[in-house]
Amino acid sequence: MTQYSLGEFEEVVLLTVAVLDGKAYGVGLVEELKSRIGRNASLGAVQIVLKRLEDKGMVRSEFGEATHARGGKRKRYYTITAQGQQALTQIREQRAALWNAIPNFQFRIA
Amino acid sequence: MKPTDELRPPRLPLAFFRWFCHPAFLEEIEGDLLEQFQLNAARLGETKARRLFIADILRLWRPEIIFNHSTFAAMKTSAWLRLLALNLLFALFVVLPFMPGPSNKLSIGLSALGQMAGFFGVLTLPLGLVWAFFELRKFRGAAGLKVNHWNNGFYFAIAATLVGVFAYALVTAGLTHDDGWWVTAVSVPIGLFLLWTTARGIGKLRRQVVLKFSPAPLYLLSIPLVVLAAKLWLQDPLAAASRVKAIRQSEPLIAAIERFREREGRYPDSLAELQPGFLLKLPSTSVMGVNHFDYEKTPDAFYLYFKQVHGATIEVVEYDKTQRHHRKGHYFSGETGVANWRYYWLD
Repeated sequence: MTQYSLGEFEEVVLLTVAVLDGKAYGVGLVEELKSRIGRNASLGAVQIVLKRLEDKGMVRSEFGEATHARGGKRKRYYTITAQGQQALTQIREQRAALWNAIPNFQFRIA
Repeated sequence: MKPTDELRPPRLPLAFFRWFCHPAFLEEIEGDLLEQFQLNAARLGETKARRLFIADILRLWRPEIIFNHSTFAAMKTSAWLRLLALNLLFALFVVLPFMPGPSNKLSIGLSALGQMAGFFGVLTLPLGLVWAFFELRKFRGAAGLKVNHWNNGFYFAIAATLVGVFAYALVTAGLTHDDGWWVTAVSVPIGLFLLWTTARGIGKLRRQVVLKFSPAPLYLLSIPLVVLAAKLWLQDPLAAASRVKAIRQSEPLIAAIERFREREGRYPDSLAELQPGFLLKLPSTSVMGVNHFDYEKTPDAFYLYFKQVHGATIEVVEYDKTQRHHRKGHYFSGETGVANWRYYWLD
């Protein structure tokens, strides 16, 4: 089985791309990250991670519409690929296995 | 207060961004920057939006955005490691004769090869720079470049190979002159193998249909600089250390010579006379580039000396307890820091 390797921020961005379901683009992702998990990510950081994820084959992109607020420049929409979905599923299963392996008494104090 | 859609982001940072951003990313990221600016202006006011706009641009000034990330990643970790390894190897070649270990002529040959690589590398630096310029253009969009022998690096590779063959032949000829034909017998097959490997690489460049980044100019640029750095910063201290190490190794030999004199009333005619009565075995120099100790009897004393290669210079390190130090033909001499020992640099 292929072992996928994603950094923490890559994983968060990939999840958000999946959440936005075909409507993910630079500013949209920055806003979504802020509203959903309170994370103030810079546009540069998000763009670099998007390029990296695309390079790894986890997202694909296509140009969308241009708007006045964007100075007539088109958006580039990112969608998650099957490989990206597999990577996220694998990470979730690995984390779930670790969570399930924690003895009950560990979190009792909290 | 102006309506936000009439606000314009600062021009200079935007111009800077347009200059550095890879053309493939320009439209989407510029659109994102402008949209983010409008959003921030509506929420936080124009002044803060302008500040954030500049900060965003500065954060975007990264290799992945300046170059196309997928092209940038085309140079794999293994290629970087090969580049690093070869540079370290050449730096090691330069200092090998000063390293502790059994004396051997190979270290001197490899050192000569390293020095030659540095010397010819300095001459080929302009070639490396022009080639690197052609290769770096691919980062900014290989699709727009015509596939020809300049852009695929074929002509540059031919030129660099010719220089390399010339330098290798020169080193081989020099060492053959000094050490005999066995050098040619060893170096020619190695050279032919290297040439064959290079020719295969050049053939691949010539047949390239899709332009890819070639790390070859990085070798042309980095190796001479690394060799130069090794010569500037490592050669002198290591030569001083190897000099002192060989001097220490000679101490039992000097003691044996003096014992010979006490018993025989004269100094030995050669070091062979010391064996086996005064020394079972002549001590080794324990420095890779220093072959052996030489001995010369004088009317009232003796010289004990050894030679080490110091760049293009032959260094003679000599013991003379009378401290007359009559050696001729040197252009520089200095103290070794050990009593009765001096070193001389000969052309």
